[in-house]
Amino acid sequence: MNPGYNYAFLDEGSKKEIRRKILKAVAIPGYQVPFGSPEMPVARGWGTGGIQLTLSLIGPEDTLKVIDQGCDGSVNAVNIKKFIGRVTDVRTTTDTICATLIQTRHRIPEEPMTDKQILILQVPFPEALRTVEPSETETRRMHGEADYSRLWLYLYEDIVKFKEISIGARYPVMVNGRYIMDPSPIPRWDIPKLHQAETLYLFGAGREKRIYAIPPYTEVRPLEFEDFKFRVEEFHDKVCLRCGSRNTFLDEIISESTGQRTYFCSDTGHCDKVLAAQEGQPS
Amino acid sequence: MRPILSAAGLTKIFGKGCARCESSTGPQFETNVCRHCGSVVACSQVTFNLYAGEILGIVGESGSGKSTVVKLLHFDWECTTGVLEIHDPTLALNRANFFNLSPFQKRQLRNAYMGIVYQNPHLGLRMEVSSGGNIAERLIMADWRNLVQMRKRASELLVKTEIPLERMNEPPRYFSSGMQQRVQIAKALSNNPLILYLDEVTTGLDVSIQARVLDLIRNLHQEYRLSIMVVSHDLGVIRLLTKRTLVMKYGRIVEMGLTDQILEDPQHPYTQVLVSSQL
Repeated sequence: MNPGYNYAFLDEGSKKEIRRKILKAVAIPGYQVPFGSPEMPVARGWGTGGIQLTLSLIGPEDTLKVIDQGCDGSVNAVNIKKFIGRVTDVRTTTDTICATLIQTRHRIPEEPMTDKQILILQVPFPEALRTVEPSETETRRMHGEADYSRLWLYLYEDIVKFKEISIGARYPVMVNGRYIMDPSPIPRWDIPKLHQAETLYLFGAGREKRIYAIPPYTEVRPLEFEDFKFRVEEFHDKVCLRCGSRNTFLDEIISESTGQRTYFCSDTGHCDKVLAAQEGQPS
Repeated sequence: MRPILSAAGLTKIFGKGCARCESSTGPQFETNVCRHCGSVVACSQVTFNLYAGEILGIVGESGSGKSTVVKLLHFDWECTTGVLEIHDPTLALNRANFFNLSPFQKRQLRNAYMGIVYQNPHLGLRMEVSSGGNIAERLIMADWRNLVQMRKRASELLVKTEIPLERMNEPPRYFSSGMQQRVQIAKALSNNPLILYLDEVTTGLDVSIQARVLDLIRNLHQEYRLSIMVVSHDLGVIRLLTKRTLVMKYGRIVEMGLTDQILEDPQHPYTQVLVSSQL
């Protein structure tokens, strides 16, 4: 650990403030709690919200996993992991089960997590109503009065125009029957994992200075009409080219030279584990 | 007859206001601008009842405060002082003054019991949303979550308001003014309101379209037995639709009575001028 920095980079006052705000966010599931969002050695918009949550919660006994769009080896994930490692000396892992803290962008790991783990999501746009309302004052009023008709109308219009709800990522969800929440740009595939999950989900938006949470065993329902239900992405007969999985969220890779489409597991840690198990190696 | 809505002492002052605002404005001063503080007294001490199944007219020149009264009753604006009571056995809320409700309760009340059609369709419709969607929005506000049922209800209302069903998925910005007004009426009726406010619905429409919209309102009134407040500066509209009328000038009611009586035998000098100049 670099002795020139306080443990976990942030000063104790900032960490305490963030932890207090986390407690408030946990107490009011889905409600966006404003926080100070101090400057970080990373530009805003590059995961500073998630990093601040991780740094305020991490301790020497923790094991950290950082993923970006499901990948442990992407530039963003590796850099964040290196930075947090440098200021805390915690163990890092690519195995979801072994991690106590998982920081992620755009994905929730495929493997079910437990109540001993915390998943921290980096959030670019915390306001689910921004799609339909540009004014912050008005969105706060709408949340305060649970006036979500315009978002429902947005879904209605989508169905009228496209015969389908066209929202791919950031599918709005109703948390605990009260607040509509932006689950960050996770694919629809991951939305059902939020409902009655054992794990604590924390959402940090550094640029927008907002923290919100889904505590364990909370009701999280995607917005859907009685006769037009929410659906996750379908991959039909597609399989992961590496591990052969059929039940994971797949990334599509198009070859520039041949135009051929191939599919790989988006969650690389899970893909590695499945592959190792197939080859009879310990993961 | 039982009033469904009672308004008492309705006052709206734009500006900081002062103790002499109301005493220094009104028809006798020929102004509604307070000479002491410059505030505008849009309406002052307006008191009336609206009875179940009645169509009540408010008539007056531009700036007389008639639209202000409707916007206060629809909770679009906060009133300065005044008491509003709504009497209906189905109403869960029981308040001495409905102006004291929280913004949330006002919105609930408005969604469940009121409909409004504005002079300017841009105020009442979302121009980028399909006409069916505009109607669906009101239904969504009333907790409808079944698409088929919402579309069915929207089609029924569009048929009633003579909008071709094949244009249900088109946004009202592509419609003529008369059609936009009819979509507004359909939207206002979607939640079966107890009270319907019509704020200069036919202003700006050509005569033939005006006649169709007025016929439509009369038919809908007969079918649904709505209580309607019609705001207009056109005495022809008032004569055609209403049984009772309030005449307003400089924010005050100067005359109130049966429409025929007011139009045939106006008592107030302003009403006499109004009637003689327009009929």
